[in-house]
Amino acid sequence: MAQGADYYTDLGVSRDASPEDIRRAYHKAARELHPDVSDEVDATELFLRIQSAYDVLSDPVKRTKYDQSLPPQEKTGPVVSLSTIYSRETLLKINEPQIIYVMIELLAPPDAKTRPSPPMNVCLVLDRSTSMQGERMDTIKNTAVELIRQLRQDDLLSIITFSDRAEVLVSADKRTDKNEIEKKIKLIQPSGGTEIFRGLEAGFFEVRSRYSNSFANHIILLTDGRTYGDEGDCMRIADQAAIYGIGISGLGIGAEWNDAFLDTLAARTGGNSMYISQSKDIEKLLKEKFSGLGQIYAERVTFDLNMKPGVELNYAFRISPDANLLKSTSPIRLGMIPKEPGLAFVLEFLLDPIVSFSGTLPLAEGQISLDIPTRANPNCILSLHLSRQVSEIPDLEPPPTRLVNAISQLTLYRIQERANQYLVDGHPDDASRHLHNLATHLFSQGQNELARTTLQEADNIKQRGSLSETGKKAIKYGTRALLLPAGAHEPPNWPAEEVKKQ
Amino acid sequence: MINCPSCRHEEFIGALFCSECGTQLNYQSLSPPKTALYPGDTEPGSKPIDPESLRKAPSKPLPDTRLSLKVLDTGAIIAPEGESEFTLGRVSGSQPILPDIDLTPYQAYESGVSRLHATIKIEKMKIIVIDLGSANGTRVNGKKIPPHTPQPLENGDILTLGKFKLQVLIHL
Repeated sequence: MAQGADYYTDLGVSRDASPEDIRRAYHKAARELHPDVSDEVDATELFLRIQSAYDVLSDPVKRTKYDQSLPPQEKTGPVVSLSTIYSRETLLKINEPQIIYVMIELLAPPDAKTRPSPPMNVCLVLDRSTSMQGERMDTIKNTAVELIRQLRQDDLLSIITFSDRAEVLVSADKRTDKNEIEKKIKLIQPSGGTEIFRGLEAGFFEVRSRYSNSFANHIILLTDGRTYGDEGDCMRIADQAAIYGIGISGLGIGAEWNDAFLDTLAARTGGNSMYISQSKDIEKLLKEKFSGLGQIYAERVTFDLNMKPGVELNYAFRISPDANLLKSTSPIRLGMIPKEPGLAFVLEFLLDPIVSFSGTLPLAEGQISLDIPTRANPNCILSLHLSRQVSEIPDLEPPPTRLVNAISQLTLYRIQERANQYLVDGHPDDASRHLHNLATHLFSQGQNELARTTLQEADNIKQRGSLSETGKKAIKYGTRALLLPAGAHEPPNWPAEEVKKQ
Repeated sequence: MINCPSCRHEEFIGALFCSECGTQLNYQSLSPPKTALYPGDTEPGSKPIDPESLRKAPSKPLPDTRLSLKVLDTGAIIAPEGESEFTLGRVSGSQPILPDIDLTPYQAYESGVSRLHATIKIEKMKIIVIDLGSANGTRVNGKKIPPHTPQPLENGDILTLGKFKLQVLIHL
């Protein structure tokens, strides 16, 4: 924990935090920083500091006096707007399990657009294995050169190339001359195999060496191959990166890379995975990723949640600013909040039968921690309590349209997931039927090309018992893309229902 | 549990879409049928609707007007026998209501024909088509017709279901 300028930042709460928020933050910090458990060298000092912070802030008289001694705050507007949409107003009292969906949205304040964006500390980890030779590598080189030319004064860019070993092509530490970097990029020669761990580890070291919470810290991995045997090592790096708040995003080129692997890597860190079917799309997606990282409002958004007994988090998926699978265990790494259009994600909870309960049933309790890099004290924490009234009568109100639309598209994505699962489990007929059903919906949405691909793969399953890697990825990332707002996104409400002020 | 109206797959109460076929579940299906809550309860009206009862009453044959449909792609002739009303669609999996004429053998799926796409009625000296709210719509001579609204058909008309083209042949 960074040592802040005042007691509020020490505890990581806002100045209007409720006594309950303060108590919670204190317990959390105390658990992490207790000298018996913490490895940090100055743990004792930090621990004592949060002790005194809690001592003052938990006492209303001392807190008021302390507040008066503080300098006025730099910004008075709300930090972020937090809204929650439930699929139902009430839960049904019934002796069988039930499902409820919750969509959570975090929006930057409207004036964020006019504020400067934080600089980025980005590492490009480039697969330079033999298969990258030719158009793929040429496009990457040209795009990298263009991106370097567009870097802002404070941005840091490092480049790692890897095959079965890794080289630091450009280090984040050195302010190398841009022309010098361009020359180095042009000299990259593809050869060798694909060992992602080598590249990822080197990339992590680069970003970590210049890590700061006033930056957007990110690793972008570009690969076209499968890594063998070092997946576990890669996950360990991802977990370390997540603790630091360094996101990892993966761009997979062609048909051979392992999408499930890149998805997990991304989900553990709050990054995303993308599919590049043709070399010419490398430029577009890489530039989009960079411009996204350059338009950040808040970073390292992490959702710590505790499920109540009898409540299970079935599924978690981010639907904005990109569509990506999330971890369904706490803490959920949510990535960043762009200035626009906001961060939104959907949770599906499965509840045990509600037999004898009346009143308000708590589902989960949690805190969303985020850093706003442009602020002097970047960290802030929002509390979130998810609960619903229990009723004996079913709620017949139609669910909110936005939620229905999101779940509708998410259902298509999940049918694709189920089809793949059936195939893995050795039920090709079920897999094929799911893809047929999916194709029907895609046709009716006018997604004819994707629908035809889906039908083709349903036939492939029937005939050969498997689908093509290209088709599998096209369907997976194609149905994912349907989740993204294509101009149909409703304008965000500001202020949303639950607004936290600082 | 609730059952998907389209494929009968079981879903948890509160699910918004069928995880099997993607059909939107009516929010009212949140209320499980009473028979599920209290087995043995025979309260009238609590029975689930029998899909068969949704089908039209048996139709009377009209020998004086005969209709056949020519599949434009292949030239195949579909001649519904002795029916004065029939639905066009395709059979897929376990759907509750089957169309009278299954177009699956004519690549109906690929052409975007819905499971229950349209109904054709043969009335005295008049033949009409009604689109059943199909996903991809019905056209008569290239002009899209509004769903659930009867449209007259003439001899030689081109009837398009999704992208599936049929020529209407009427023999008086």
